[in-house]
Amino acid sequence: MHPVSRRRIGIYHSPWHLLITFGFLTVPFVFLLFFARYAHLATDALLAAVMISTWRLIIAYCVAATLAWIMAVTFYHGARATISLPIFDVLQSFPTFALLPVATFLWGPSNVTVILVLIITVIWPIFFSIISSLKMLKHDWQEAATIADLTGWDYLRYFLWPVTVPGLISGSIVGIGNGWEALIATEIIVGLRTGLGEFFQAFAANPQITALGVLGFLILIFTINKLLWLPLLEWSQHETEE
Amino acid sequence: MKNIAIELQGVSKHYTITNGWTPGLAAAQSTRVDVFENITLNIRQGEIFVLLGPSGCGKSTLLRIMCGLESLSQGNVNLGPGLNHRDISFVFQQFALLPWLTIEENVSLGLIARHVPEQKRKRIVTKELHQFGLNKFAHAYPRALSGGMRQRVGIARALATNPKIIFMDEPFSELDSFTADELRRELLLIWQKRRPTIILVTHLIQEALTLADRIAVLTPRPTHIESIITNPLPRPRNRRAKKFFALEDRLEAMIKP
Repeated sequence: MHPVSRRRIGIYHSPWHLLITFGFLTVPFVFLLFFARYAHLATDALLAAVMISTWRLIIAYCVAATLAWIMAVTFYHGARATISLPIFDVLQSFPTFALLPVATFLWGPSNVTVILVLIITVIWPIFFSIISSLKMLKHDWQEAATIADLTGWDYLRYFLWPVTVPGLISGSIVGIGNGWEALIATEIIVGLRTGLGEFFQAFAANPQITALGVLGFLILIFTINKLLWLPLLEWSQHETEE
Repeated sequence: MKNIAIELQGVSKHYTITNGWTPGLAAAQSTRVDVFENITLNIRQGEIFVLLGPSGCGKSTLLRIMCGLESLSQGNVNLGPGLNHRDISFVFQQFALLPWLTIEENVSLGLIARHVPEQKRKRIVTKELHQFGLNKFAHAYPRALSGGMRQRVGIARALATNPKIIFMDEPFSELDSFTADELRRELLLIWQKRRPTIILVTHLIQEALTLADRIAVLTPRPTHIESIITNPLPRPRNRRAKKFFALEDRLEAMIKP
């Protein structure tokens, strides 16, 4: 018998599926090479811009996903939910860019400003998606955990984490989609001298290059979805299937 | 109290239904619904006690109150001397296996919560799975099993912690009659070996007579215990015996409105 702690994450159908999926990752970089040549740009500068922007988004996503998960499992039921969920609903409707002047005043045109705006953009879809996963939780499952007397770390590991994963993943897909948009807009508005926002602003007067830039962007997003999110989503939904 | 597994003193349960206010159509209304009033009951250690009654009479609610899954409005539920909430387990009507865990992980759940060392946990789980012929499915997920096998896992999970009291909420009602019969036989064999107290809810008179030492007959509106009958039939019980039919008729007459 295998130890209970050994977990299986079977998100790919076969080694070939994994290989082909990873193969897709080269597509945006090949595109980047051709694009840099067409636009007469230094390839390394364009690559650096993509990397810097992506890192900003990754950092913001990690912070937002952690906060969203903690908030969701804390506030999803009982009196806390009755009081807090309407407040969170109002907060998520608050336009993120309205905070931009305050953030810029406090931290200037910096990574902190961009990442803060991104966190506020990304956190809500993830939070509400996890809440919806928890609300759809089967009562029987909860009672089985209660009768087993699962508490603390065991409750988190064997119960709470698995039931929230589908919500975390579907919320992440929406959150990161919104995040890309907010990232470029924030980089342009605050006038950061690094990242993709600066690139789009520099070529704003050239519709051909802008269109190609947008196309490259779409390829990147499609690749990440195909590579990571969709297999994860399929796997997580399969895990809670009875 | 010495021989008592669980004691209910004047247990009542009611809840309030609140209908919202719709402008010009309906005023807000609160209605109190009494599920049952003033139920007093003693269940002995090592017996199979069956709560028998028609659907909707509150027998499942009573069972869930006894094991602490549901709150009571009035009264007391006391476990017998030396027993606590870790001495109980539950078999669910719809199995309630966690679909993201393998069969062995599902059976291990209570042992993990009790911090049983891994080696010992493995031994216990293997023994329980072996008892139900489920060894080769240890690494399968619940979705791969039939209803009967899932309920076997449910019972194995309930037994793994070696509980003193096992609550069973219509455990065979989701199964076909052949599988249900087979599982009843397996349950009786296990009970004869380990002698836990089993408190089982059913609406099937034959099932109650096959399994029970004592049967509490519940009748609805308002729900109350009509009678507690001691089952005099010797084990193994012959369902074609005259005495069996006579008891069946008696219980049916009690339950019929």
